[in-house]
Amino acid sequence: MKIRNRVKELRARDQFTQGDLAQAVGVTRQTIVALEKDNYTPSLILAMRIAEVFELPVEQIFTLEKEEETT
Amino acid sequence: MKIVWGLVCSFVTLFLFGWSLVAIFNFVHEFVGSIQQPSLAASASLDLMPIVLISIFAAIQFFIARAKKIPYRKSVWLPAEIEETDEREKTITQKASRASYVSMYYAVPLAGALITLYPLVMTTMPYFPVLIVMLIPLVQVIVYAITWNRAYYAV
Repeated sequence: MKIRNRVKELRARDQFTQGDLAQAVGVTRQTIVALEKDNYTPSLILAMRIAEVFELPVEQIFTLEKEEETT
Repeated sequence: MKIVWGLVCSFVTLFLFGWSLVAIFNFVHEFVGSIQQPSLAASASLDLMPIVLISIFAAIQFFIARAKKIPYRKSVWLPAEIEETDEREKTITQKASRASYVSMYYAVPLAGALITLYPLVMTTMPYFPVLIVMLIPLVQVIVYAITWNRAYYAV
């Protein structure tokens, strides 16, 4: 299972740079880069902070991608 | 590479510390040799160069840490390559620490095995055990750096 996110899309919508978002949620820019490439699963605290910045519920930004069942 | 300065500090410190230990070892070795010969007055010479250099290097690191406003506790007591600015760096540090711990599982027995070769080099390199012991933290730092770097830039 993997967590997918819409951070890149929402950041573009709100015209934030990666640096702006990083500063707003208190992480490094490299962490935002990793998040956008789905290479890092954030903690619940970070996910909630990001949700707060984009003014959306967490589940509208982060979704759990279930592995496809083999038949 | 983010932790490059920390790594340089660790490598230089390990090198200078190892060199200082070799100097002290040679001093003790010479001193013991001289007191075992009652005909001669006990004497020994100590190479102060590595001890002076490591003191200067420690002072440089201390002032750089103060200029960067790194907390005293971190700059003095933690290895310089430890970076935990945010939660992802903490996770990467945990991963690198684990790899470093596992590396000790192999490095320490290997160092023990190398010590058994001491009789072969005892006369030419009496400080051989000091070098072997210093290899252990060197392995630890190298494994930590490789793991940290891989995880940090895996994007």
